[in-house]
Amino acid sequence: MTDCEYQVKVHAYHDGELPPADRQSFEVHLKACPACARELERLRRMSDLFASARLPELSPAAFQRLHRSKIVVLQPALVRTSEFFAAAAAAILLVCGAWLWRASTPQELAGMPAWQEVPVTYQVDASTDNDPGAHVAQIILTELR
Amino acid sequence: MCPSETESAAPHKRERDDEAAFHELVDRYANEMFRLAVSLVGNAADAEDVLQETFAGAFQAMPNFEGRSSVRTWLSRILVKQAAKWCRRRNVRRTVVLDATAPGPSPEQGLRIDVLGTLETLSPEHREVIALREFQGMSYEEIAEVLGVPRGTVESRLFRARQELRERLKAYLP
Repeated sequence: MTDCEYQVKVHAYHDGELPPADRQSFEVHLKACPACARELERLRRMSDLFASARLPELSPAAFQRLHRSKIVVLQPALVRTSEFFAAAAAAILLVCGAWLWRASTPQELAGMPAWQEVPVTYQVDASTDNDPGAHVAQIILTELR
Repeated sequence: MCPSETESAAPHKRERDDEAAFHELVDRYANEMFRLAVSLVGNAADAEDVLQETFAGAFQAMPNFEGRSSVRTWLSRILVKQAAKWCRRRNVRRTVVLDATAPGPSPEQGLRIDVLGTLETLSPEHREVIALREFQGMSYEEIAEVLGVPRGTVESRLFRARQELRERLKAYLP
């Protein structure tokens, strides 16, 4: 690796990414900098190595499979319909599951508490008719018994 | 053609247009995208799967394609994302089991195996910039667009990726 301040520019120069003006000045620098010249040579050999590692081509069979895969790609309506039915089935299962769970839980004991059934009537002395406070006191005493 | 015939024919015409567009996309770009996929995932079998998912995704995203980038850049962006997803799902450093009885690879195959294998040892970010630059020949601007990063990030990632590769490919780069 070169320690020259132009080291990053070596990569851009190698990749053809330096603007024309910068490229010219860098080429002048290259002639005077063995470190950058070595770095450039290494980059070129690396790129040649990648070019030599020829990547495979897509086989004709794979090509055909790709063309045939359009059946799935071109039927979004079919996909939406199937998704709708899947969601509906899931909702039905949920409702059935909830109903079964409710049906299996024990019922509350029959009958209301006695205090709900028994009408409350107050036997109040007629003598309290003119005295509301006594009237209320009698009701309270009746409830306490 | 009466309106009812037009209305009933329109979906079928749309389907035919969609189908034609899909086939054209595949014919034009499948090979190139396949090679990019191989460089990213390391082998042809996985690359085929990534390619299929890429074209399916691209086709469904096609109505939203505004043409601000080239089709090639757009497809590459989708493929890089699919490959990254694939690698995360796979989540292994691949080991190749060699059959001792099988004939050895040719020198060319051996080189390809070594180069692709070395690429797989890089981080995803470094692997992507190397694949897009060295195998696809993309410019820094195009790579930045594909990866959704600034150009400066592309430059620095390339610089570091190449330093790493030089170390790991010492046998080929004395």
